[in-house]
Amino acid sequence: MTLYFFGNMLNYASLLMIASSGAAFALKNGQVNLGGEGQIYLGGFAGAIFINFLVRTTLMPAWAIFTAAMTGAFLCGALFNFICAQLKLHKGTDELLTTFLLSSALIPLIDGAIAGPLRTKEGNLLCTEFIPESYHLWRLLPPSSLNISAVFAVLICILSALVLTKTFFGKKIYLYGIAPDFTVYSGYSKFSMVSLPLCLCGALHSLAGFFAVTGTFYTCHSNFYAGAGWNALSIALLSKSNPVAIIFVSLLYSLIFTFAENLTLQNTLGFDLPSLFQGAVFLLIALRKVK
Amino acid sequence: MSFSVESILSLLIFCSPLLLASTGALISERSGHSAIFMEGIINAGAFACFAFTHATSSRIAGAVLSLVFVTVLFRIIFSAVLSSNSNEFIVYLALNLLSGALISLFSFVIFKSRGVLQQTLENQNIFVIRLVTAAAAYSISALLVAFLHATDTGLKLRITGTDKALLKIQKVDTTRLELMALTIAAFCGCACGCVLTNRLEAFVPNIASGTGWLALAAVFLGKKNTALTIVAVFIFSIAQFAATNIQNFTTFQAVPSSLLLALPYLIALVCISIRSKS
Repeated sequence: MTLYFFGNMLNYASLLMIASSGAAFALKNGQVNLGGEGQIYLGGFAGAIFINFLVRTTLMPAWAIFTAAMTGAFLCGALFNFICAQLKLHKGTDELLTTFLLSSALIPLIDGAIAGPLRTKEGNLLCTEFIPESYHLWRLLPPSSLNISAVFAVLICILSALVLTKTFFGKKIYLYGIAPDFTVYSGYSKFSMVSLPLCLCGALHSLAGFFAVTGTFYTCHSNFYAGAGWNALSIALLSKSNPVAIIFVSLLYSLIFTFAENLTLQNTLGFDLPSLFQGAVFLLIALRKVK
Repeated sequence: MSFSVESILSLLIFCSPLLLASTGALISERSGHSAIFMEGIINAGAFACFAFTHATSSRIAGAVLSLVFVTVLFRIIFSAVLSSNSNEFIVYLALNLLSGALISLFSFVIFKSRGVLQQTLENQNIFVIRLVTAAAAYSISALLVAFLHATDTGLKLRITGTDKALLKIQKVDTTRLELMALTIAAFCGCACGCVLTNRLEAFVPNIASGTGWLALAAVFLGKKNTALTIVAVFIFSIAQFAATNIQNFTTFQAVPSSLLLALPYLIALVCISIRSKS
């Protein structure tokens, strides 16, 4: 493996770490978020659009625009899952279904926006306008895509671990995951117990998308998220929602995927290998011990 | 759009795949299992039907072989799911993912193409094919509805979803009933795929395009009631029929195709949102 692929492997792992941390919050809470793909796409799309819009229309300094765009992407992901949380609270619908359906509905809409009115005028790539160079995250290992968001990814994992294990909020999340009726009976708000972890989950997925756009692609191109949402969920399940374990499992997962892609490119093995691997791993994780 | 006999017949033919898929989803839901796998099975059934038809040069043989192959394969998987401690939602989603990847792989290996696969058999009228496949779909659905409501096994199957403990007390093997329901759902999904591919005389990647999810939405909207589910199927089919034809009208030519692609999922989400809390 060359330095280029090694750096790309670490970069992909860092994105998975952020998204998986979000998935861990939902899983600890007894909920499963299946809309990761759409949330990552939404975060990247929102980030690219916000940055370009704010650069064109305001005189804010670069750090302020970056922060605003990051916050916007974060909130978009939170809003996504807020809708699903409300459907669960008021209509009793399973968040497994609603997150998946909303994600599946959102993806073609974003595709349409990228291919249509928001497409860049330069070149033939199906993508939004490239973000200005001053908003590109610093590269750590050029020419690979590894950038400073990898440091944030590790910090987010550690912070998530601290929140889940050391804070009152984290313990409430865990308690609701194992005994929801008891938690509500104890006086804790069902609204916050259902909504906050799901919103945090969506927000972190969108943050991963935002970092993918600002650190790796510098634009939101069609299908950039591909498979990341499912991989993040697989990692969270494999690491039993432990954010520290997520760091190591993400590295392993990314290594295997990067290796598979490398193999595909160098040996013309066909483009199906990574998706086959993804589906097989997901299935094997889901099929647990036989009684 | 005028409501001639021809257009009504076209609409009825258009409804048939969704009706099949919804019947399977309904039986699965009544037994207490969500048919999340439906989308993957429809795609798998469609590809298998195309491949077997290509190999045998016979539509009937192709359909029968694909029904047997796909149904047996998924039955084995369902058996593993029921006997394990798995979260079936995630297993079925993984099946959908794997199904897509495997179809792409086999499509390339067998036909050297990952795109649209086309085959026209000699001396076959496409309108007759559509009529026959639609008739088969309606017949299968009617038989299964009769089985669900007019047989002893069908009754037990319905009770499995709501009062499993009652059947266990009477020493009825509920796992066998659940497996039967899931197998029927797989059969219906595969049959839906066969109808879709025969109607087009081609296999298109992701030929299901949300049909599996619409089937689930129809069941939810119909509150798992057979008659209401059938009504929901026709409502969805009319909506889809209108959506696919709406771009023929000058006024609606600006409707983006991305909205049409999102439509099955949006409809499913809206139906889930408006149904009352159970």
